[in-house]
Amino acid sequence: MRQFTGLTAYCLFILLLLQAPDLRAHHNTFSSPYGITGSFNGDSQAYWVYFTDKDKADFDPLVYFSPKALKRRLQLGLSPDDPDHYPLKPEYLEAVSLLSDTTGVALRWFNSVWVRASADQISQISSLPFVKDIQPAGGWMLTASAMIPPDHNAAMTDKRLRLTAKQKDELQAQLKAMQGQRFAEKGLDGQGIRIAVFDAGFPGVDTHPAFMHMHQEGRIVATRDFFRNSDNVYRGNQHGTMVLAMIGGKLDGVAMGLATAAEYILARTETWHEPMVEEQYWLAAVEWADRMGADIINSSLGYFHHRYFPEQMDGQTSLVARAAVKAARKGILVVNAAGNEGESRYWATVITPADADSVLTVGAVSLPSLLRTGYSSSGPTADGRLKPNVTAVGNVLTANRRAFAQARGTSFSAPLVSGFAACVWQKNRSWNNIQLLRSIERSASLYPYFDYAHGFGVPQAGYFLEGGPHIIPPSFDLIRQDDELIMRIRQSVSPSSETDTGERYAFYHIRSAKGSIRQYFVVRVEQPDVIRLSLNQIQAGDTLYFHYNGFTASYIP
Amino acid sequence: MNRHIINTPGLVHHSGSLRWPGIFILCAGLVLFSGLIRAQTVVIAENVEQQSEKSRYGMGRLHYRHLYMGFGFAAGSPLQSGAELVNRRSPMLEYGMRYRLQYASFLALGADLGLRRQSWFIRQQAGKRIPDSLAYDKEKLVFVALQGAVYQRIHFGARGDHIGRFADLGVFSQWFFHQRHVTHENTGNQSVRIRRSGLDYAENLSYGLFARIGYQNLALKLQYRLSEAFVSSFDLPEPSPWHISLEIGFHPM
Repeated sequence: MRQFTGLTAYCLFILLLLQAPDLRAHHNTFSSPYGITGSFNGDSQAYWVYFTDKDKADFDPLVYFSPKALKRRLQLGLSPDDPDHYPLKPEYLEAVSLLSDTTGVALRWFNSVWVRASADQISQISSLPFVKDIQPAGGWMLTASAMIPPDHNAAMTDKRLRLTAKQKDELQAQLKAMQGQRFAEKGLDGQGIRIAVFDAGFPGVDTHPAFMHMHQEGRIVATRDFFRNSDNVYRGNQHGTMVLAMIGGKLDGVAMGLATAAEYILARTETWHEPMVEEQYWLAAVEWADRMGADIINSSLGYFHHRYFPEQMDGQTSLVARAAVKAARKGILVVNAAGNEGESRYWATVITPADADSVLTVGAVSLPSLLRTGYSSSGPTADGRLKPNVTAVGNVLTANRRAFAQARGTSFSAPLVSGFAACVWQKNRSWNNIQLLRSIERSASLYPYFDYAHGFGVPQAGYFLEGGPHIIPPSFDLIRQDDELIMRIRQSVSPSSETDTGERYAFYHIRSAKGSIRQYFVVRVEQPDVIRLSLNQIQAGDTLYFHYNGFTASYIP
Repeated sequence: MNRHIINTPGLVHHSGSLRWPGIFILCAGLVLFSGLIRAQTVVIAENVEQQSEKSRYGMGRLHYRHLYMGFGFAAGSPLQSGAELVNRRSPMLEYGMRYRLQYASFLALGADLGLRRQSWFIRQQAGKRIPDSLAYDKEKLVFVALQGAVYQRIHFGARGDHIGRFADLGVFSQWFFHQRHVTHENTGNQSVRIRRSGLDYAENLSYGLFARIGYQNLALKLQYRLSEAFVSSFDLPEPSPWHISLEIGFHPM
């Protein structure tokens, strides 16, 4: 009898338990940036519903696009009458809305809408004649960000915001690694370039002196909080504040980023701790940024193990990667952080959308070595492509919501490169985004050498100011002795750049016949014969590549 | 992997014995020129082919194991009167290793193996019958067990290489290798504490069912004991079969 009672109680508990993960979803309401609302049913899941068609009705490019966006499209020879931008058919949205618990973001580029629906509901939706496909999407999670109070710390003391000489040196060193001061000397500061920044919030950007020049000159031209469906982005996580400072902040006359005269559009697409729902906001924001005329998108965000596996980092699996590629096709340079998973036991590779082909993926290096930091995610992508493309300093001094902070992460490397790209584009306005991306790669410190930790190295301003590549004298010799190959440094080599600190590193990798790197190494140079390699174990078709002090050479055994 | 030879000037090995002045000169030379003869330092060495092998082990993959720890209390009312416990003073601590086999995208089988220590703080009141009717100031039964469990896991929602949200249903079994009855009594200005081990009235084995819900490294577990706590010939009432606990999983990143 006792067992029977216990079992009955247990079964009741199990029934309750099976409902539990969804119980908290009950009675939650959701409002999308597109004004569609709904409520949650307990047993529902999230999906993307794709439609078969849409038409041009109600689409007027002159109304839809900002003047700046139209100008960019004309400059790049893109038609403003692009079917990608046609709105979704309202009758389709309405029909799906009636059959689901909730509808969320509607994506014009993908002709799809985010829904939350039960298995029965999704079965009904799939039978609609205009539904082309249904894919599972990220779930819903309420986040702690709703509890973050707005920042009322408008009165900032001068003491906290005065840079010491050491801090000024630190800020300058961050930019000097890219020869950023040379852009400033030539008056290149990103003027005329519009940069969209996607992040988790920008508290303090409306009050902090590091951003006052942007406000005073009216260069924050649009803001959007996709999470709260409002225009107030000056709240939430200060990560965005710190990132924006690295693109174009300025304090005490010292530039924190290189694009101090660029225009900005700020999108809050993330909440407190990067839960699963935010991917849809990133997707909505990229369409919005295109519409608002963004030339560059800086995304110090990415998605990884919450919903993906490393083998899915192929630039085609995630919707954000595909959206980033679409943005690139529309002429936008998408700059994305490589990710901070370099020390992760299970991930290590780049995150998405940094895995997308036409995204400029930025890894982190440390000063003064300019070698990869441990945390910086490495390539290649799951399909063997080179990532990251370039690197920049990742351990930085930056502005936060109230004063300054030391911060580290590829999140801060990406904006440094975004500011760099704005200056290059300002100088070469006729280039398209892919030309810009490739030229930034060519300018980098290791080019044409690359590896999966550093990409092509740290972009160098001098490349764009000195009329392109110049002949670099050999800095080493490759000497074969029996079955060994010796890389011997020439003694006469002088420091390679203004950032040279005396520490030298030689790079080499073994590349297969297919062009992918099998192994790569960095060795500290402490004597002339830096590397001795046994050629016996080099596979047929392999090529060895060596780099030192700006000079690259290959060797085919 | 290729042989990566670091060019390190080697010490010369002499066939004959070195005299003291020779050793001194050699040591002095080593100290003076140590900056010149140090080995090259490989700062980064990556084998991409090894990294690109698809893993079968991980939080969202076929195999996964991790350590866990749980802390909880007895819960509910006794099945028969005379076995009332003070639940909030009847803690349980367990720790061990958990293995999980993910055989479908949202289904997994798992097994736990660990140690468990639980106390039953016996309420001293009229009609008390476990383990006897004698009253003390404080009285408890302590059980230390080796515990095993198998469970079926259901995952909720889309996820990648991640634990995510889950619910487990399973069975457990415990073997008590140490049982103790502890009483505490104040007699005037003297405090008497008595411990008795080898309790012949307590069962050595226990089994039951459990259910667990969790997200990432946190889980709430409810456990129900199906077996009798005491040997039936002693005719002792059954305390509450319920235990509720919070578990923390340790997931190396």
